[in-house]
Amino acid sequence: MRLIKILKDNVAPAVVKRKEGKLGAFPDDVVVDYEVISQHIFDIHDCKSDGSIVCDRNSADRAATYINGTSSAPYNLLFIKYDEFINQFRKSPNEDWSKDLKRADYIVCVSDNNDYFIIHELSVGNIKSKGHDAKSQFIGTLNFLMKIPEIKEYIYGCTTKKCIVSARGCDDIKPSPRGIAAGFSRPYKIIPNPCEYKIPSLNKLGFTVWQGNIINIA
Amino acid sequence: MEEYLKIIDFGPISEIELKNISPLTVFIGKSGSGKSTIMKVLSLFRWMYKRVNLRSFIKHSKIKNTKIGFKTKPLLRTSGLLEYLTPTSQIIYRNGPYEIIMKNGATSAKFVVAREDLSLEKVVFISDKRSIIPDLLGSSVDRHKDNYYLQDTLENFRTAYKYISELSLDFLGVKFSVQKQKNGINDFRISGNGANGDYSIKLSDASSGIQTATSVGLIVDYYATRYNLEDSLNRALFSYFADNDNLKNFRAGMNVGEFPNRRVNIFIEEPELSLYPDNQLELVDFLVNRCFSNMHQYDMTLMLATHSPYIVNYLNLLIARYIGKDKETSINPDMVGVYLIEEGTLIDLKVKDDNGMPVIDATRLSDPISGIYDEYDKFSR
Repeated sequence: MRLIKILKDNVAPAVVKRKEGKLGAFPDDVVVDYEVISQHIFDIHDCKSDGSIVCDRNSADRAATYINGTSSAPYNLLFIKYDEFINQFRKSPNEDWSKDLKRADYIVCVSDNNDYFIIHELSVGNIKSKGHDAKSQFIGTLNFLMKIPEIKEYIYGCTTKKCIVSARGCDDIKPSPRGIAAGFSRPYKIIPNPCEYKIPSLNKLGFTVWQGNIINIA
Repeated sequence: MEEYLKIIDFGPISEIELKNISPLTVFIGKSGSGKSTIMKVLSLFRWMYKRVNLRSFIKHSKIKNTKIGFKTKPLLRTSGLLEYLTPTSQIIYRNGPYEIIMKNGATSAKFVVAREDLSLEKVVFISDKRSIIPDLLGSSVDRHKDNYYLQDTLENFRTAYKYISELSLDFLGVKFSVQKQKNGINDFRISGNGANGDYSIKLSDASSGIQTATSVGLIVDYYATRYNLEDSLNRALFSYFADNDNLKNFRAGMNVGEFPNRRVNIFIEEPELSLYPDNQLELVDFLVNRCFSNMHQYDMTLMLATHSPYIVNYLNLLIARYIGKDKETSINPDMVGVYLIEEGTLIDLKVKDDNGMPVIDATRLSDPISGIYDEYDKFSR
């Protein structure tokens, strides 16, 4: 899988190089944690480093549902735990080769071809910060990756490039007591799921930007 | 002609790009996010574009010595924007093929607008500090001179009441009037019908919402219904020649018809200031009717910076009414742009619903309410 190799051989050295002068070489072997998922429909959550990305439909921290190809021909979707990949460069507060680097949760692509490159940010925190945090993670993640020729070439070679933010809450607006703030939930009902936004700073890199928790890989 | 603005590294703005600026453009965003900065920059560049149009008109009229230059730092200082300038700051403004660029601390606008593109522009800025206007009107204190935008608001208010001595402000349920007293001082009054019957009070004694919205109502009504283009051209040319020590070339009554394009651009900071939600919606009706429903001899643009969820949500109703061909106040969605300014960049909030119809994503302004009740639920279990 070419993307895994690029992360190991090109992105990891670029992460370390930023702080090498101050911290020296990174002492450990670099790991790229990933999962290949071939189910047609599955739910995901923001998993811990050793857990599975897929979660139960009724899980409290379910953040998004993927509809992957067709039931007879689903894709092999490669989920790379990008935040975990970057997090490994932080050994302690004083030994942090990843300091100041933004890190979206997952990079998702089709393992057999260059059809998709998705940066997927999940939010299970306070809903009001979801858009703000996600945009910042997207811009930071892409600005860093696009400085590395090998992955830049890989990304540009992908047909569909998307940034997706899924927040628990996108389809789960809690009612206020006695409906006292019900009117404020109405705007959520007219916004499609997922919904595309124009964010010029990301659009100019060839990425469309989406918010929602239904991801259709057609 | 399509209008374009790009701002890079300027105050709170890291990079924003507005392509084909809509006649009605609305900015939302946190306090200090840069909404007003964008409006002030655009108003400044539209003013510069107006000056270049005058220069071009004069050149086409074969009048010599039409020098005009833009001294970047004094202009930014006057606009209260000088401290935002950094070595990497860059502002690009385009109106059709004509481009004004500010970079490396200098401004370049070396073009002549073709006769057929000449545009007579008016820029009107209604400041969020307008609540002080009723006090300034009755005072000799000139505090406003420290703030260009407040000064502009005050001058536009003064221009407006010369032409409008009485105006029903239905969105407030009151009537504004001005009468010159025997001592020569103007008496600005608000009258209406309250719980205890009819009343009439000084404008400066009216509620804060009435004080702030009266200046908006009066100025917009003036520019939408009674604005005199010929006077405007004469004043603009007089000012232009005076600035260039070239007054001998000024003659009143130059032909407005030589400007095939005419446009009034109104900028309003926080139209909702001190207004109850219902009044905010009625104010939007008033603004949209005056600017986009009334017939004018000129085009109008309206740019708003707001924190009001009511105003942003109401735009969806105005759009839906337009699509549904309703008789009430409405607006063509193609004329509307709504943007969130966040972390110095811009997000276009005009999206499409499941039926492909345009809709403004107002959820950003509901998110804090949603957050409140998410947390409330933790305690109510």
